Amino acid sequence: MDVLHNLGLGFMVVLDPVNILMALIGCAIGLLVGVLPGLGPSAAIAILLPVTYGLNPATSIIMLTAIYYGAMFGGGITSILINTPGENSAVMTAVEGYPLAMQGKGALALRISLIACFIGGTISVIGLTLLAGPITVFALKFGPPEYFALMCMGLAAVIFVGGSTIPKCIASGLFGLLLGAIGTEPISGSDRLTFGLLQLSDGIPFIVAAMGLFAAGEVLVNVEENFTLDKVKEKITNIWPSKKDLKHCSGGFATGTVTGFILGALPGAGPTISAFLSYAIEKARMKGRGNWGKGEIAGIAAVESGANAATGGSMLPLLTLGVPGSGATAVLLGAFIMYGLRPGPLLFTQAPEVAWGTIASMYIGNLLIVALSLPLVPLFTSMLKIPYAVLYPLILVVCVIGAYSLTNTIFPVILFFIFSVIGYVMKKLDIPAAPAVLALILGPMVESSLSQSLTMSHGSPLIFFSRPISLVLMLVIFTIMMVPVIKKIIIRLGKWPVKGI
Amino acid sequence: MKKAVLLVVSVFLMSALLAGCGGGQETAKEKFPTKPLEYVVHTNPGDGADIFVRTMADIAQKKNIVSQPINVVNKVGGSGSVMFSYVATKKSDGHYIMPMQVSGLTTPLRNKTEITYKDFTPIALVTKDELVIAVKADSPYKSMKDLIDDAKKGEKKVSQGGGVLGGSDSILSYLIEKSAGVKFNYITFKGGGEAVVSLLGGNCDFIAMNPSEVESQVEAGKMRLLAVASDKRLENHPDVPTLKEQGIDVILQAFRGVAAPKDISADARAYLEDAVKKIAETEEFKAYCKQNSQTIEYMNGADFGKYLDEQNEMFKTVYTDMGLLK
Repeated sequence: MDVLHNLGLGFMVVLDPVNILMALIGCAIGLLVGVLPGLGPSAAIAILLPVTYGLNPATSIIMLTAIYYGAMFGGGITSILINTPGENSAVMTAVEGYPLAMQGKGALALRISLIACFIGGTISVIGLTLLAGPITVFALKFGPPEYFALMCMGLAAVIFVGGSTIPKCIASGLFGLLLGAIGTEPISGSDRLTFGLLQLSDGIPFIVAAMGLFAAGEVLVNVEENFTLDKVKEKITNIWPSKKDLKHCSGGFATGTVTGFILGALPGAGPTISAFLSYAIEKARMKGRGNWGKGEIAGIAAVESGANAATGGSMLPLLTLGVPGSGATAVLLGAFIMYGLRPGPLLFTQAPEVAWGTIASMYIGNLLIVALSLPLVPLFTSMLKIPYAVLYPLILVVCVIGAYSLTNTIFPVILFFIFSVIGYVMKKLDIPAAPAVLALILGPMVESSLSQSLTMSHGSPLIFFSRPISLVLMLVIFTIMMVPVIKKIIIRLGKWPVKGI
Repeated sequence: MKKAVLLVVSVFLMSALLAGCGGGQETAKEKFPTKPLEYVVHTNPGDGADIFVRTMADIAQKKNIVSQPINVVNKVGGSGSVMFSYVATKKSDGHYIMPMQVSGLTTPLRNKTEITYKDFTPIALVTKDELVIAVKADSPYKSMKDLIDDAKKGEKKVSQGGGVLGGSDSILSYLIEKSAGVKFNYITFKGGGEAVVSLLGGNCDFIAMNPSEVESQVEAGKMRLLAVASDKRLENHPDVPTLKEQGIDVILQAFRGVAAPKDISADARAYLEDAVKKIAETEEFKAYCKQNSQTIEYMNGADFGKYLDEQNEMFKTVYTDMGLLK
């Protein structure tokens, strides 16, 4: 009951009218910033950090978390409506949401996304409250071998969810791996594949690749066809999800929340892999029944609840260990330090009102963004009514600004143009872009955890099988990969007696 | 109507011209600084260097140490090279300043860039970051002697988690190895946070970190400090012996200073040197340093320049020994 008392304390801090007002403003700002492709939650918080300088710590942290949630949803809006993932975790939202928008069902997609946000966020806050201790212990058991297994699972799932034929998915994935290899080699720290360009030593920024391959590629293909493709065939409807829809998505909500919370609590895993694995697991759970790749709301449900549950989960390592679990929490950590707060094991005992205040503010932020946006959805979808001749250049302009804002230099913009062309080519060849950007993120993580694991084991690959958690994960991967093969063998064996020898 | 518009526009343009002229004359006679300062930083907001820069800018403005506003601008990328390229273009303009720290020496060394620390005017040294050796609370090592004895039992028996090769923790590792005659199993992580987690999870035996990154863990009793790599014990941890005291003759501190573009006026230089000194003497700055376990050590521009030369030589030698420089 101590926990509930503290949570209550937290809520009391947050429910102060001034704080609520700041949270509302934060949501609005975050939403606006998140809608701009290229500026995701991390950038939003980073840019708006100075705005919060004048406020007291509690209020500014509340505002920052509100901005974060606003930006997360803003990124979701652009994913669904203009096929531009605003944040890593939104890639699969774009894959499922954009076709829905083209069918005139953008409002449905957005609302499912919001509901998923809410469910994921709420349950993860409850999880934080009740399970902080055990989850932290579990998270600490995840060392490099476990991460390696997890990331491998992610890479394998990339093929599964690509959407097109398997060879094309693999091609796209390999391209992504190649892109991920550009930059600083994780062990020796030397540059690799950078052609001497120092600007590439930090690698290809995900958002540049995503904007180029997704949004710009789409725009270029449409321009080529001279807008003759009447993309939005149906009338843009303002539909709310029906009970049937919600029931259909219930699996997605559940899968996303559980997967998201657990994976989010692993420092370094974060919303991206959580959202993505939630999607893959839900698709597998439903055995591929449904409109996967063409507008499957259960997919959106899984991704968005996964990403938001992961956000709640990623607060765990931040608050209990002082280690950020994702890009956005890293900036939050910076904010904490600037206010003289030191997140760590003692935060909960020494400054419970800060810890619980942050958790409560996350919840309120989540709640506010959902409450704010649900009625505003028609406003967002009306964006699609803008004539393409205006909308598309607008998208490109915003993408360019987003690319520039990454480092305040022109280099990412040039990269963006290159990726736009690549995106155009990929679209013409019907090669899916999602595996490429996902491999871009996962590839380096696989590589570093592999090298760390092998260094730990002095070169022996047995380390992956000698530790309980990684052994389990490896077996899971093996099973998933082998099941179709084994099935085929059994069927073949069954046919033998019939054919005669 | 048209005539009226024409009249208004011409009056406007004339006044703008006059204002411009007037401004020009004034600028020549005005003292430095004549426009807002730009404090460029090479990390993302929230990272160590960014907090360093913003703290200084904040203090300078609150205490009116600087007569103009200071804008903090992030120019991220290439471990500082993007910032270097940007500030190098602002030759002879003292309104641009940037942090000059270890990466300012090591990045040009490793990447053989055209622009090095010599292309900038050193303004002042401000702080030195200490490094400590930390182990998990339940570790069998109670002192550096235990650690080294165990390491002597076999090459790469004892593992260390740290950041990318070439960073201060890897250099400290190398220096200790040389001094004690051992070899550690160095596991590379992406950053301090990951290394801290790996230590807590029992995936490595020790880490070398800036104290601020392990402070909360030590306070909570989850980690212990075995040694500090400076010439005297830390204020915050008076019972942690230095490496020297334990027989390992290694001192390594990561410096943080301020630099400006080349060829700025003597006025500007003196002004900036003085401003940084005043900032370093404020209570707020002292509090910030205490919290982040940084030691304040002010050196003026000329001395800082010499210090940079020494450090650069040191890094060159170490990097060549480590095989990072061909």
